[in-house]
Amino acid sequence: MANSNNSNNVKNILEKVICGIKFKNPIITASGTFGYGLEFIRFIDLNLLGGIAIKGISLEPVEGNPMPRIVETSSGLLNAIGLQNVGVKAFVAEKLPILKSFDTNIIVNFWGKSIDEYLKVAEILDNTDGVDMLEMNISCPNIKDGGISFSSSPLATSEIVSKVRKVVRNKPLIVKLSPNVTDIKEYLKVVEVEGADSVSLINTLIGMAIDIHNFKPVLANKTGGLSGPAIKPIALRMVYEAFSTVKIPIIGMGGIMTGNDAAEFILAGADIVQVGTANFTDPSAGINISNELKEYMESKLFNSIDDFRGKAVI
Amino acid sequence: MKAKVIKNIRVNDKYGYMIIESKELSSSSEAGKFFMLSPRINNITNSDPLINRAFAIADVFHNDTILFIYQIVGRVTTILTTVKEGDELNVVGALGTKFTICESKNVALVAGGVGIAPMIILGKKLRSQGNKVTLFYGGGSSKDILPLDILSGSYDNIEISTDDGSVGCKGLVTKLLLASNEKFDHIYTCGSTGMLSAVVKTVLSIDDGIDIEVSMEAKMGCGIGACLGCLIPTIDKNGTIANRRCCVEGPIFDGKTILFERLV
Repeated sequence: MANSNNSNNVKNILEKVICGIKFKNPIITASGTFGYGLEFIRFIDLNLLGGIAIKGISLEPVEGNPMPRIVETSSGLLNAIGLQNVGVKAFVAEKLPILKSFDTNIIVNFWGKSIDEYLKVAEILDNTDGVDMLEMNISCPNIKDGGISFSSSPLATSEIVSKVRKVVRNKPLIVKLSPNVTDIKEYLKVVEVEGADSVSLINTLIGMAIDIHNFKPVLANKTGGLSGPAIKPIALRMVYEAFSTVKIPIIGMGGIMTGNDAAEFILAGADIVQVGTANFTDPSAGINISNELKEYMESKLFNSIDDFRGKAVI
Repeated sequence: MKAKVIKNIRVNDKYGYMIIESKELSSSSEAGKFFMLSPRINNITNSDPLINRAFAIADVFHNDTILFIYQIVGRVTTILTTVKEGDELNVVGALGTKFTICESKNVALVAGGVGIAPMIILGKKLRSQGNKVTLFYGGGSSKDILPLDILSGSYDNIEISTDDGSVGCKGLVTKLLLASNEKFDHIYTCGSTGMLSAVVKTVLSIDDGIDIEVSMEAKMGCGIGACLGCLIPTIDKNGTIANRRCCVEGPIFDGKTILFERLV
């Protein structure tokens, strides 16, 4: 026990390495809920986050869906933004240089309207300095060509992942999965077989809200993706299933608002978690959740994430 | 950030106002800006309602307290009616763009219902810069017209209209504006989207050279430019159409740039 009180030697119990990338804590802000990260600089110190998952980037700029795009539901938020983004060129030229100056991992979520677009944007990002990991979105429910067709069958998922894998040679490739399937285990297996380095789950669940005075769906897109605490039990169940299905690192998400929520995901098998809708309710949510998770771990005498990862899986 | 409730006053069954203490929020507050208020009062971690709500900054006192006005319309504003002195709120702000404070001009402020909120601090700021300030204040009925004591010091003249004529002139606030003999240099307005559209049309019909600033309203997911849920369709002088975030590029816009016909 010598040196255990030496402050230079204090172990960061939150540290976690996945796919060769070191995270100072297991909290990533989720794609689509944290803009390009820059929107939050005024409010928080980005250096305190384990990572930032950038809003889904495509080859060309995308305008997104008509308004209304969001509506609150019980303990949740329905959105149909439609993957609005500035396009990969503007992201790399205008946003990434500022992001690079922060000591946090940059995970760029990306998507395409066709396999060809997926490959082009993936190749650009794979060869761009300052991008630490790629997160492939095959599961946005809000636009017709937003990748959802690639998660409509294990075969379609297999095809797109195997092709993208071939062009992503330099950086770890995460595949973000849709919960809008009958059996997520089939998709998990396929993604691992095709060489993904990690999986992240879950994306939003397709939902709807109706305006009872105007007799029509509230969202212009009619349906939207449900996020927030309302989906947490479903997300946890899927992460729990993933733990017994794949060996690659699991990034869990869905309704995490507190450190205890994050602990639940890790107990279910997540290596790292993403925090999404909570960023809207408090810009410092990710940092608070990291601090609360540390308190939880200390209270249980856990010295690392691996000390309790998957502990609830029996 | 935290804010402590100093006062929560119920005006009637439709409106209340609150004074809250937060140095950070007050010091960044300016006329036109807003803040997001969490429905989690006193750090109770309820998840329903979930999303923060936007409120205009109505006034700032002593650089450490702010006034805001709420109309009781939904779950969060109903919760607000139960908030007590000393309770702790969570807020994010001040956010968004601000009104232009012109100097030594003849200006009109046009407010509808709870749209009076940012017009209180705006009127004071404008008067302090030597402007002559007229308020046109409209509502459905007398209940929508707040007691004039919280408006004191903000205006040189006040003209009121209500739909039912229970106070002031009967009819829409745009009728008052049209009937006015004043020649205004600059007009500021805040209210429902329908009212804002009518005010902009009215002003353009009087003189399209008058500057008009509108405070737009939109359902916001985050208030800080991340969710892209609050877009306002706009057109600039060159005819370029663009969706702009109400929370960051707004809520204060040049009224002539808003494509009202595209707003539901």
